[in-house]
Amino acid sequence: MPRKRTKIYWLRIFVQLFFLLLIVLISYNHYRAELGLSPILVGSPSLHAICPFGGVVTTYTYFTQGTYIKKIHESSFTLMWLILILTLFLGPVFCGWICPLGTVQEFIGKIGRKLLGKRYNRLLPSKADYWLRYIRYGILFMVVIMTIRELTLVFLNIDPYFALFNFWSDEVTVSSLIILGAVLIGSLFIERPWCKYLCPLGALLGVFNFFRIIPLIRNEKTCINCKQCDAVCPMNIEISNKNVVHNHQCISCLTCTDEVTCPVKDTLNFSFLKQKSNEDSPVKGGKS
Amino acid sequence: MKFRHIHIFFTIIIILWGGIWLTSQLGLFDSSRPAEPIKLTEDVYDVADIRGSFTLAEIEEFYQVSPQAIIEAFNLKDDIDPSLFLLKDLKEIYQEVDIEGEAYAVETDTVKVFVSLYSEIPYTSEETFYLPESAVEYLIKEDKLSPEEQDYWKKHTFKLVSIEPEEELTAEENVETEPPITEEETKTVSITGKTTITEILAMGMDEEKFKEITGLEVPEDISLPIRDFFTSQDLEFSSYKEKLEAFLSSSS
Repeated sequence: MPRKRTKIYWLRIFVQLFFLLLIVLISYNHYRAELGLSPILVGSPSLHAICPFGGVVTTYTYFTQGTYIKKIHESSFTLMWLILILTLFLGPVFCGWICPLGTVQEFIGKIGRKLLGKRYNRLLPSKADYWLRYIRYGILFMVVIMTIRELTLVFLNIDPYFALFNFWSDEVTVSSLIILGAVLIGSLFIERPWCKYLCPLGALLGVFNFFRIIPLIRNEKTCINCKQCDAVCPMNIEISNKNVVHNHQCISCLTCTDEVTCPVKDTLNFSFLKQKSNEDSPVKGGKS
Repeated sequence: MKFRHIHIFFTIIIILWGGIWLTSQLGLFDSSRPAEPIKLTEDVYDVADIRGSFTLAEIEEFYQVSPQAIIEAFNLKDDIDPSLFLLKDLKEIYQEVDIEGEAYAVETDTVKVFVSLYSEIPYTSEETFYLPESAVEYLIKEDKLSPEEQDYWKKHTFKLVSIEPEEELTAEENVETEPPITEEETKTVSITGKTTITEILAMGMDEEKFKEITGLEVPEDISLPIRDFFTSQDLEFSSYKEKLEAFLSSSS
């Protein structure tokens, strides 16, 4: 019998809400600062100063010219390195636990799940869905190349994250608001559509899934092949046919693990890779 | 070892918050100060990278255009503090003007064009085709324009018009168009978080009155922006703004 979700599952939601509220407050403080008012509780930096993707797009300029591109601060560059270190150990924890846009999509998705039931997050044909997931690498490549050529924050033109938390600002472009609207509506049908198909930062962090120090490991000896892990994965990863999951879309949300969903103790967890594991090798089924 | 929610929670705290704390201590996590602009060559900064958040002092530092040059070219008050006046503040001083059906505002891009002409660093603007008359006159006076450039810019000027009369605190008043102030009229004084204590004292506030209004002594460092001073005392500038303005308005 599947176990009920444990209390500790709320810890991720708590962290998500914390970062969401933090960004809302920082954004509000920045608005207050422009009016000559003092910030509340935390500082009032620009959102550009606390977005790690700013660090990604300015990396080339930093190493070739020793400076950052327009609007990018030292803090976003430093933040990028901290996120990369975190990702090297635990994979894209940033996406699953920290990113406020991911959180908003996930929360809207809960409404979509109620409306669509089992059809939620399963609407696209699997082949189309498979290939669409590579678009974000194209976006990452394009954004980095265009930023190097233009020396401006070109991603700002399509960035739904900045648009969401600065929708009142004249810095927000119409195109980014349209994309934001599409992402929020899309979240009612597909879980985390921006993360899955379009997010360039998610693309970069996703690559770390191939060599992360602490991957998701399935114990095939104890697995009962119930496929509940496959059913709950927000990124639609087929976990039940892997011994070590190195899928580029994993966001380390832990929803599939035996702490939350997997009904058999010590069967599906994030842990250090043992030397003898059959990495990523498909298996026909676990013990039933 | 299995990594549970609690482990990830603490890993985030250690790597992210610990990392932010450590890099802040090492001076590698500056989220407030704008980074220096992009360089075109070893010694020349790109004019296109001039930002609204730059002060006149930073324009001098990076582009060797003195604050006095910008003050004169943009008709600003002589006593503004170059280390506090931001380029984006220009937008709040002068009205937009309508030229050939398009609204022109004096803003950061106007300064970019001016700096480009003044320092001969190439910059092609996609929005500034007109300059304030005073800026063109200044460039001609300083012999910064070629005959062709003079020919073009003399035909592409507009007059600066202040948004509000009280902007005289930061921008020079247009004496010809401003009605004379009668004795009965009192001026409305406006201060912002960036106004320094020096400026407030210069507006007619004495130290005793400052203490009476704020409950605080005038600090030793009077070059501090007033908001920073209140923040350092865990107080909100907004709570005192109106009282300070009311006193300064009544005493002016």
